Amino acid sequence: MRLALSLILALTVAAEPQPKPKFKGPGIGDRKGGPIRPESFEKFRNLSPEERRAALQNLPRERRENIERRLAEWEKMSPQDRQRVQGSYARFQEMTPEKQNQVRQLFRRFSETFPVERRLQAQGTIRRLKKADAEERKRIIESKRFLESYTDEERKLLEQMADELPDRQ
Amino acid sequence: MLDAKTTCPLQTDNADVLLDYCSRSLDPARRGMLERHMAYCSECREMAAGQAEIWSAMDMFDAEPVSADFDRRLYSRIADIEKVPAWERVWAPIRAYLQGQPAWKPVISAAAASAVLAIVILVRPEAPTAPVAAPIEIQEVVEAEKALEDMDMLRQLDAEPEGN
Repeated sequence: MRLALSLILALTVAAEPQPKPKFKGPGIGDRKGGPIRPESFEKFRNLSPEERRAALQNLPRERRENIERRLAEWEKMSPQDRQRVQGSYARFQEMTPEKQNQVRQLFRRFSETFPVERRLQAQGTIRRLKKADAEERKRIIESKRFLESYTDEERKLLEQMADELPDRQ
Repeated sequence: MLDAKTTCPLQTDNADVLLDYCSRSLDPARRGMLERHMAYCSECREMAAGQAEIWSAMDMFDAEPVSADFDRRLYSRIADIEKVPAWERVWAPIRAYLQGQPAWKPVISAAAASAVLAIVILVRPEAPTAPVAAPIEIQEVVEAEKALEDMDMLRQLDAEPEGN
């Protein structure tokens, strides 16, 4: 009887699930890691749904959801759009880590400064500024439309973004 | 001391006086006093009679004479036990347990439980937390996450008004 009880106790203790250590990866804003290898994204993209689920299982829920959402958006893009973004990304990767961080900060400021309904217009302005030579750029900046459409702070941000963003393909 | 009715050894927690009396080790003076007391104390008399029966029974027991080589044989057996292999010494308590010697039961039970626990912990398979193992390193996942984040940013910056 005592032997049987001991065995039951031992099996009960052993049946308790062991807590798995939480994955401690770099956070979303942590950009101190090494360079990003393009093949990592392709490898991740080509995983089966089960393999992807297994790869993400130990990430915090918010990060997992962000990755899944961004990947779904990527898959929804047309081949042309995908190619264009890949081209921009290739040039972005050629930048130094410091420059890359600067672009990320500018994008954050852009998202905070412009509400969604004004972003497309602002992005069009950035593109025009990027394409323009010095003379054309001066003309745009001094134009009535530019001065009336944006505040001083917004104009400064747009000019800075035109200087720092990678070129489109 | 023992001559008065109030000094009964059984009533004064001095039963050892009676035991000494029965084993004939009480000095003559105290023995006389106790016998005078027993003349009128039936309890002490009964106890003395009971003890006397035990002593007389013990007197009837004759111990077997010890053989001349008793010590030599005893030490020889001790040496034989020490020569027994370790596994036999481990097995002996288990065999004793199986033969029903109760003193070993808690020890054997605890040892068996510990052994089962150790085996279960070491051998049991991992609980299935995912249908398949991820064929990708954590670092690669983190890099893919960063790449997706950056491409999402560039995609938003690249967006054009429809029809543009």
